[in-house]
Amino acid sequence: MRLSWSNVVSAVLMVCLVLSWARVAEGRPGPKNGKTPIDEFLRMSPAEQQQALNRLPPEKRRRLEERLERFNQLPRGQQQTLRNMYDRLNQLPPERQQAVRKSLNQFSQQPPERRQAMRQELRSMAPLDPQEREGRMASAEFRERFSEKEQRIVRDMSGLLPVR
Amino acid sequence: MGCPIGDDGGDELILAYGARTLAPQQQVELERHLESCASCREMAEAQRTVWSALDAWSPATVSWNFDERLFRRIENEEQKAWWRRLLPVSWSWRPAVPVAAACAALIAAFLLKSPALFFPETSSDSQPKLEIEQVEHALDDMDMLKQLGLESAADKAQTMGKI
Repeated sequence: MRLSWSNVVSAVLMVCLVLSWARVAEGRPGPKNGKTPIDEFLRMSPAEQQQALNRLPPEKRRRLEERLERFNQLPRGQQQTLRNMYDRLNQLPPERQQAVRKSLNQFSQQPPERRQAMRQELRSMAPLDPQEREGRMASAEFRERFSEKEQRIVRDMSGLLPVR
Repeated sequence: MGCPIGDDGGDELILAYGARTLAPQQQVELERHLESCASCREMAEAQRTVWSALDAWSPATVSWNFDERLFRRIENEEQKAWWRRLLPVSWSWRPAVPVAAACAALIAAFLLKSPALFFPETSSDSQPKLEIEQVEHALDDMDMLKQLGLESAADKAQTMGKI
């Protein structure tokens, strides 16, 4: 086959097409694309929901149905905020996700007054931009107020706050 | 001999002279006339130039089986699929390939810009992929996030971010 410009250009364009097609297929809307698995589940038809739930043992299934019901009964605004935080958590690299989950778990194990202190700190950080948050976490006041473990928990949690 | 130009068949007399098909007697008479008639002489000269050029031209040699190949090709043409007969005789895939590639690149650009146009999200698209364990894990995450009690603060920050 004779090599000509038209053949070369065609080949390059075809490669571009194949690559872009693969990228589109990869990014096709799915459960992780802006919608949580809970949303996906709630969008299923009742028959499909039953089919999915039937795979669980009866007790586990009952608990899951109750949890779904509780989530569904939350006010719309609260649901949306939780979705946003969930999305930010799931957008982190897998190892960071694990670290944040670990911190969330450690948070729940702290005494109530320490949880409240960390919660207040995170609330005060929410309106700040990322640089200001970093500045706050580097401040002497912050380091005096929280133990190293608490500082790490707050740092991990701050990654879930909306970016201003 | 009178001037043949303007006479009925006079031009053909000069054309025949150029082609050297005149009878000897007619040729002698015409040459005698040409000595005294500039118009006829000019026309005869032009004819002579044409014939000289034709004499210098040598036709391309034709292969020994030219006729056979020609008739076979005609036969093949008649037996072609109907859709190929609709295409122009000079149709070739070669120029069409870059055009097709350019169209493909355009489609790719549209795909990247708005994949939803080509892959509308339907319930049947995502449902089989969803495992019930994913729902459980999401609920676990939601419960952990909920205990942070940051919803109001996050809402406020989100609103301020939008402003």
